[in-house]
Amino acid sequence: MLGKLLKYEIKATARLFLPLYLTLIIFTVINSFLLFIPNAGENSFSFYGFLTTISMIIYVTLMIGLVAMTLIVMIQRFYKNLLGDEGYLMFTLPVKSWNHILSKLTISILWTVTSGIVAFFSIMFISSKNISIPELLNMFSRAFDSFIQYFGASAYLISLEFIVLGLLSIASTILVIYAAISLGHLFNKYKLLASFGMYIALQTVSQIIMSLSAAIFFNQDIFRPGTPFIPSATLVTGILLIGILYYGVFCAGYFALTNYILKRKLNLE
Amino acid sequence: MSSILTCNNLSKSFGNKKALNNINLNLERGRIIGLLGPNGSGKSTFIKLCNDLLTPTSGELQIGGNAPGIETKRIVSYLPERTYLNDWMKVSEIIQMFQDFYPDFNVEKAYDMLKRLSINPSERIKTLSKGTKEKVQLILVMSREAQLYLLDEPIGGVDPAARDYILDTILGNYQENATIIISTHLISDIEQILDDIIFLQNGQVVLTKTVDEIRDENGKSVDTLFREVFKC
Repeated sequence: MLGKLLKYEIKATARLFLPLYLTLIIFTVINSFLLFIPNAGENSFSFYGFLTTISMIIYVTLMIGLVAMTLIVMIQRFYKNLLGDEGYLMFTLPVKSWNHILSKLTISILWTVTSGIVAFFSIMFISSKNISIPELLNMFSRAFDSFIQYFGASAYLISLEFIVLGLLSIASTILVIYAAISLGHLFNKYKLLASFGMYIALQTVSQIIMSLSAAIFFNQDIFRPGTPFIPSATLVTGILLIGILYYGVFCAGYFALTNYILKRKLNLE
Repeated sequence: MSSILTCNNLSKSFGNKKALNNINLNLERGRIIGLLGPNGSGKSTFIKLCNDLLTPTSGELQIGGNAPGIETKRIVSYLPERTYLNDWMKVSEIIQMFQDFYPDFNVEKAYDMLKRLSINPSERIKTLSKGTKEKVQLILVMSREAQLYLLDEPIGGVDPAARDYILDTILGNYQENATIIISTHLISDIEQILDDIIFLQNGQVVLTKTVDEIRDENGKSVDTLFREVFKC
């Protein structure tokens, strides 16, 4: 059933994201094309200059739109599809409530990562007036090679840890929003305002816990000022692992809280 | 025959307000039951509890031997009092979705009913009128071969002419063995199809009887009895 939920979640969101990605790609190409043409005259107001400006404005707007849309769709899909009228259908499907959360979370992570990749390559493409894309990729692979040289076999473990940590930090960013919306939904009035308040409250609590644990963790000899800091493979692996555990615990907590509310305290309008 | 729905001392409170207070019911299979009561008597709360959309404050509720959950959702077909359709979908896509999630969904039946009501399956739900959306929803719900149908105000939003069609649809599309619970305050419209009635008032069951009993004992229609019981 999780697979089916994922399928419908992708269907519901792809229709919004794919056209936006396509538009962004088209304007990336238009912009880089316009930037490549040598300017006719620096001082004269030209149709070409006007075109470049307009195209650039559209491009920047699209970039901002991409960020905004990723966030808005993430919130909308949870709030509207589960806690709005559509929730009457979703919660009467023979599916466990944690499946709903997991499917929404997975697809949100997917779009966040995809949006990030699209934005990254788009900016690279536009700014790479002097470097070509293959060259750029080559640069990355060389950087990775020296990274492997430095850390040896642990480099792969470190890369894996980086990816897991990245995904978990995205997941916890999303899950704290889900938890805040669910908590806000427990209020009879001003649900949206309450959700916002709950978001600030949850973030504050997380920040306090993080500061406290960081204070304890970094209060060790190797982090004392004056000690020469050499990032050994073991140290980096360890620090990343702690980060993974930290985000893992937060993700689990927010997930459990959201699931408890959806399962036991659900009260659709 | 075993009962489809039982509840013992079922209560649901919202804060201090008791929406349902000590409900005891034992509903049999193969009946059409009217859940009747004035506004705010707890009809929708009861139906939501049966659908696991609310959790009971106390007491017990079982459908087909299980507490509300995945197992009961497989055998319960629910029509809420509001539109729950994803409006970006086409009619055919929502049918596909029901088919995906409910093994008891009968696709041919659904398309047949759409055709008879001349609803175009390739139309987007967003563009349908409110009444048409309600019809699509009823078609989805009645195309399932469920054991229990919970219909919350199924005729509230449609015009009287469509009511007859909807009642025919309900009657013509359920298994002999299935039970239908219809919640409404428009009693005279559905009276002729009911087997049993449950009167709810202030969250309590004030009367459960078969329609035949009411006619024999009281010599009245359900509508008249309702007006007497709930006289303001």
